[in-house]
Amino acid sequence: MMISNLPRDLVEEILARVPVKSIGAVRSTCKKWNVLSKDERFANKHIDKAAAAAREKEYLIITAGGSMDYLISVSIYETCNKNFGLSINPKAISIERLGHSGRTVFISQAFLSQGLLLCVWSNSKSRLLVWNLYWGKRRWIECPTHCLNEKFAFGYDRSCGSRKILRFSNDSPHMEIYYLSSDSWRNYDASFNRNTIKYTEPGLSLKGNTYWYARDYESKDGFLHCFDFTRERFGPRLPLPPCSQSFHTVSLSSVKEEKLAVLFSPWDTDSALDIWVTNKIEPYEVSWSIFFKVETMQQIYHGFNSSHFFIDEEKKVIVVFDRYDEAYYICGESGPFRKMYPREYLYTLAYKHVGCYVPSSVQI
Amino acid sequence: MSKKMIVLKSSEGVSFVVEEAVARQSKIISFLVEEFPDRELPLTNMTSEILRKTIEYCKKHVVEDDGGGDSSSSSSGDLKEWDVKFVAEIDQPRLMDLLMAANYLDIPSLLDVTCQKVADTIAACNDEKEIRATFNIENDFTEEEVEAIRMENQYPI
Repeated sequence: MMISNLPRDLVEEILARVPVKSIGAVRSTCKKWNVLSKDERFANKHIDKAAAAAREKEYLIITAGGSMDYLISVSIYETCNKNFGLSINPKAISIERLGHSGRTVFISQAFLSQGLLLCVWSNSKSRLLVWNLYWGKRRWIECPTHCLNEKFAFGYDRSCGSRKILRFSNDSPHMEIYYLSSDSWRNYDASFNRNTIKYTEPGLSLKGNTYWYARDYESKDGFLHCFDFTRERFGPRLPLPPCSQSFHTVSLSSVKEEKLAVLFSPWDTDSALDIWVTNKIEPYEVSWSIFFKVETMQQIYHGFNSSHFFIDEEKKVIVVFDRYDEAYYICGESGPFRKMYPREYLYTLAYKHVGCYVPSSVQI
Repeated sequence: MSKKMIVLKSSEGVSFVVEEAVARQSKIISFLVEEFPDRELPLTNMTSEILRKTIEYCKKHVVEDDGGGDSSSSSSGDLKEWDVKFVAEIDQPRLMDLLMAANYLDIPSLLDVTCQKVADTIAACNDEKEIRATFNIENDFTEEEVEAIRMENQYPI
């Protein structure tokens, strides 16, 4: 018996067990397999099996290369002596940089929401790319108007699954929502406290909504803020975890698209680094537990420039990317806080951290 | 205590005497045994070789029910290792036959290990050319079509 003579349902049983990274090779093997693997029912089965079999969690990051940007995946591995390292997948996807009047425009914001990647290039007019990596489908979206300091948010309606993008700015009273299903922008008129809240860092997509670390314009108090894509409105100011000391930066990260993690980076390497994880996270409610504390970072002599980070909850590991360097910091619960330089890549790793990748069969 | 035995007959007419508990891992045989007790069961689309392999698998996986609680014949870790070795020793055409047999006899765990083995072989190939060569699949795409699929299906993982 040959594989080509097997009935379709058995070929389906086999192909559903092939890891997601091999699906491109499967699709280009023959027409029969290509048609079969593009079936949505097959895709759902494949993704379920692949997610169950995945041993390592893959995190997507966007790195800046010489003339291109690259989407790469990284995962944490454990060495025998309870130390950890970051393995960087050599299979990078190049993402074009957009040119405008002789200037190169870099990706300004990136979001990952249930298998869909959203990249934003901000210029005189912003361009957006929604990308389903599982299907290999991309959709370019043009913004109808432009305003300074645009912020974006990416999520979906939890009642119907419809994908949406929010666009707003502290400099403009106009807000708009883009609906992926109808490929259209609509003005959004709900009240928005643009003069009282300052969003310094890009937002993070989680469970269909987008969260920001935000600050009050006057008091400078920091808090967590959410745009609820189901009800299409901003939530109340949510408390951050009780950080014991003064901090320099606050970064957000998601844990398997279920929980939110927050990193408080200190001013100097003598102080502690705090990482907290949510027990519960909803647009109107949050509660926190400490993930772990790095008491001192004195092994790092030349300062610490944290930017993006991610954590592995089971392994109890954090990885923090350096803001200005191709280095990253990695630390297990009991191990030392180490600064590492990846062998495989010479690019700036810290460019954009996208999140933990889970494939999705959603059509765009 | 004597165990109840049943007779399975291959396409070549060879009879295999098997403990009923072993054969009952097949949902089809389980059903046939209830319907036609004390009859030998003809499996006309299974060769003796494949039937022997299937019985070997079922013997290893039988859970002996002798009243004691945890009485599987092997621990699950050992079983997994045994399964890996079992499918590794079979050549590709016979693996496909065994996969068909598992499907026909409705033995879910055997279907799972055989499908997984084929999937692992596909995953171990570097590209579509190697998959075609490994499984003797005809390329019915043009160069341009393959290139288009390759461009679409870049994957960072």
